[in-house]
Amino acid sequence: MPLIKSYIPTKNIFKIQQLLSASDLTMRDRDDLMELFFKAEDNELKPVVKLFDKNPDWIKKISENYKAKRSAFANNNYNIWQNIFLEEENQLKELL
Amino acid sequence: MTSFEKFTQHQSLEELRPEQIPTKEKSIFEKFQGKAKELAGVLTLVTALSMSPGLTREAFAEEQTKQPAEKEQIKEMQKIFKEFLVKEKNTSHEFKIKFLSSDIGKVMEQQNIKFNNDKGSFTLSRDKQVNGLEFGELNGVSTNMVEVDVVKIKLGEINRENLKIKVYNSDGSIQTLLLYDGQLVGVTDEKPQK
Repeated sequence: MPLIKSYIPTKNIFKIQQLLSASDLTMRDRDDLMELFFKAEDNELKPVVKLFDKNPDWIKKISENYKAKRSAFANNNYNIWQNIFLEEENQLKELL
Repeated sequence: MTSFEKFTQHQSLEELRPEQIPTKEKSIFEKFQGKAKELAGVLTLVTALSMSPGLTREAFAEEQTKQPAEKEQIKEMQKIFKEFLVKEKNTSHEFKIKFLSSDIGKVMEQQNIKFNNDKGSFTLSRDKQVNGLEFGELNGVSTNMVEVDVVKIKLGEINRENLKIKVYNSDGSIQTLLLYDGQLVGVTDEKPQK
């Protein structure tokens, strides 16, 4: 039983939080994405809200995309970027 | 030939510095339009934000060296907050004033955050209006412990301070409150571990 009864947030980051809560992501992945989007200016998140709202499947894809990028930066291995960019390009082509 | 292949003809990825990645990624996405362009925007945003932990840690370490006074201030703020949470119900007027004038106190007051924990009941509003967050004992569940993290983030020239408040409840559930630029933006619930 949550002790928090109500809250009145209005920003895009909160909309993302709601969409992530309704998704199949694990708690860890949800928290990771929230931490990520937390760093953005709120107006930068409008396209993210639109994407997640209209296409919930993209929540999982963006989560995987983020994990891959985080790994690429953490390992300082730019060869990993080749796979990431190719995957992204393929995903974009599917939308054309 | 894909945009990526064209791009790699001109530059080896191994020569890239991390901060160049978002720009290069954007250049690969240039040809896309419509829905694909919108998605490309989200992907590049994720890249830019993914970079920030490393840069933030670096910037934060630099900042910590330069501004030990600020670091002390954050510690003091956390200490005041924790002290506040373990005070008995009849917390002194002076202590309330001290807490309400701290940065965390101001945010919590602004958001009308109200605590009831095992040690007593605390309301952060200066007046009696409570129309936002409300903590309380529900069905025998109360709040055992609260942790506060002040997360400082530096992106380019922008400095931002976020608060993460973790509320540990007596039934084993954990709630995380995220405050972004001083405004409550979300609450995450973790169910009790079985």
